Amino acid sequence: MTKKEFESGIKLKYEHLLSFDRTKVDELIQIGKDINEDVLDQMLDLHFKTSIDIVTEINAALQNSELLKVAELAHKFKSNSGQLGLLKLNVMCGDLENLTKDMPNCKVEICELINLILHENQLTLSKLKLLQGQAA
Amino acid sequence: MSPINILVIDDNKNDLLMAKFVIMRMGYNPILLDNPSKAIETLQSAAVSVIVLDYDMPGMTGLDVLKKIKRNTTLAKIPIVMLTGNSSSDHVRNTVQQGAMDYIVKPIDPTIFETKINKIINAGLQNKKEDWIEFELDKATKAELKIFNYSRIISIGEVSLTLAANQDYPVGFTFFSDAQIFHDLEIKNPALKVEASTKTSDGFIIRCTMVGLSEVELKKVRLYQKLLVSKKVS
Repeated sequence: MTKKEFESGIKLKYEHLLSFDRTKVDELIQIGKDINEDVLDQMLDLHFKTSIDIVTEINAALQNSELLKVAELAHKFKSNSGQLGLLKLNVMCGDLENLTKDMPNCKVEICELINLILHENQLTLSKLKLLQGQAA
Repeated sequence: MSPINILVIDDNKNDLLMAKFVIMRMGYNPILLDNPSKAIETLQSAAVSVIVLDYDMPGMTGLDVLKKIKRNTTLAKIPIVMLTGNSSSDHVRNTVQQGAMDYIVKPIDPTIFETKINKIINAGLQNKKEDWIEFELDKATKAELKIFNYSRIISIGEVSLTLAANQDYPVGFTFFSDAQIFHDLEIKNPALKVEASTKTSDGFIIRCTMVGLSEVELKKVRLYQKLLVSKKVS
């Protein structure tokens, strides 16, 4: 598979997925109202901080060819996005975990997927921040 | 009433934060720990009702922590719920065999989390209540037996009473007397609280106060005292 084929294929794969689970987000907003805290805001801030750390660690691990560590970090990213109901990111991180485990030689594809994850992460967080602002 | 503490041990800060908010909504006090090696130290410094423990942690795993807690005789009774990203039967069997009470699959679903933790806390409170009722019933039965079988009223004052018994009564112990004298005075089972106990050659002299007598009942006791005194004089 060429890089171009991979890019178009993978973009198609995620195209139909929702960025986030609205029910989950509403649930977090409701918990916030119940305990009088900005729950969604705090969760998003922490997710944003940890995702920067995770991506930095992933890049370092990639440079050192520590693919098992990349898989572990992808698993952590998947878990964090699942907690916030970030559906597309959750699937992407799961794919990254599997790709590094099953096809450790596809470094270009792995890097491409990481870029997609970063883009999606940024995009979703902006959308959710907007939603949080509307809810407040 | 002291707050109910729930200890959550997880190296993932996002999961810790989520658990914190859910526990706060439940009205309990969350204690968060991202370093499993400090679990025992934390448990020894705070009274914890339930431990929520992550299975997959680097270094010291959740299973290691679980085993360590279960080996500690003072902490072994604290119920543990495992947090896991894997709900395979082997995984679950493994945690339950090691003494975990239940498990919660990640990502944390607030409703499932609340239901499972509340179930454990309510079961604990019910057990405590049942233990207490059993203890009180046992105490009452024994006290009654003691009164019927071994005690004899020596004197009766306005609000106090002294009895001879061949068994000691702890100070502060409260029981209901079924002595004949109270039947005669039509006072229904007054509560007696032990104020002092003195050992004698053939048993114990127990001094009690009568608790919660009404004005009418007190009058009856005073009248009875007068009758006793006049009998002695004549």
